Amino acid sequence: MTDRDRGDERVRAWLREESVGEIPDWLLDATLERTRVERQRRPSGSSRSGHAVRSPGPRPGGRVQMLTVMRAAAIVALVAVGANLAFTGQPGPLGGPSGPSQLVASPSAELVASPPAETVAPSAFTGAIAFGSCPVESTVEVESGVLRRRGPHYCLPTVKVPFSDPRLQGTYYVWTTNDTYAGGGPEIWHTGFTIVNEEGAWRGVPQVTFGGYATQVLVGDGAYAGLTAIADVTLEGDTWSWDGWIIPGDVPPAPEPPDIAG
Amino acid sequence: VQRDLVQAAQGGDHEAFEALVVGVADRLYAVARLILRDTDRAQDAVQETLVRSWRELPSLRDPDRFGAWLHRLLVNACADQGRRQRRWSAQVRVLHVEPHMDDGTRSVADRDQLERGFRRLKPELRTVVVLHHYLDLPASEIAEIMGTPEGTVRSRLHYAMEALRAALDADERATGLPDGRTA
Repeated sequence: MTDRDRGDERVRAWLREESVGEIPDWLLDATLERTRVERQRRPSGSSRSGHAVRSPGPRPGGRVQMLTVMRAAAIVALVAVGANLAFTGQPGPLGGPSGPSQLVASPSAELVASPPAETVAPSAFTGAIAFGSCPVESTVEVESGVLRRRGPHYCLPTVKVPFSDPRLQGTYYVWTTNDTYAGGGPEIWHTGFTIVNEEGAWRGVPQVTFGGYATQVLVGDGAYAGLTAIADVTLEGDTWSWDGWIIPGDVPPAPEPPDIAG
Repeated sequence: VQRDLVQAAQGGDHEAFEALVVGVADRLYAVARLILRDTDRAQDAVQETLVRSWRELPSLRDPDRFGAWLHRLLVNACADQGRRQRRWSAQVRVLHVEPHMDDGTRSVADRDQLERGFRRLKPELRTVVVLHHYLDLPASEIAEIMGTPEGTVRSRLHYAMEALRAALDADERATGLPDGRTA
């Protein structure tokens, strides 16, 4: 055996040693969970490439719109059945003052905004996703000591821990802009998330952060119209951990600035 | 049997897809870990590979080429991970190397030199080494997987192995013992 052969054999033996280990069960489970809700791409007879990555924008087809219309119709019908059944002294969903007197005080406004009583209970969820690949990459420019990441861009996070609420399982998208200041300055991110599955979508409202933490808000669409997901999202390493709630309706409106004389 | 499973999965049979995945996942994971030298990124690469394979499976023309096609997806996912790693963070996380039982033929220093030498290789060189020396794939199939000419594969393999042999030689010179054997 030549020196070259011996070297090759040692490399082969080292690779075999280093490859020992099975794929974690949780990873396999999370992956299969994700593919269960993914739609396969069928090759078409057109000249379009079959390898384009699905855009996080509005989904084609009328199914989501139809679901929205049906949901709205159901809400209107329930409103017509009787307002009092919908509000029987349930506490407010999240913080702030609550109670039957306030809800009854302005029934018409509340009725239009809220789905039926049995579906309005806030629902907690957790989950974790990691960076993943980026089919469309941003441009990076350095200007006056600031690295600026801009432009059309999105990535497809992978699932680390499946979201505990199946309504939040699907294909995940994240898109960002970023300024990194030289000399130990802050690294500021503007980050949004969107989740798309067969039933609808959760469309994120991008949030600004310069650390590893942000509160993300995602507005429901399709079958999830009328719902909002809100979560504390913590970034550690390459993983975003989510801890939040799905709530009926929207987050509170932005407060009016006080009238303070300068 | 695999051909039947592939065809069923192409038709949307998720149970058939699961059976395929269970049969290949460990090997994909091993390859990704070897190429990326990072457990977390290897997990991401494997998941991305499997999700993409489910999505794109209907476009696979020859079910008998499923294995090569899957490896191509994995190699691309590993390349994406490598690019993303450089983009998102300058910090390179090092895969923890567990101490191995000495089998009497290689020393700890030997493995350490290989680890260092391997890490110094560019990702495409690591990929060629893993596909050839771990999966035992011929240069022609590696060329198909990586989408490069066969000659490029051969030259990359030559360069990578020279670099690894040099790393081992350096170790031997340092220890003064032939073949990296310990006393």
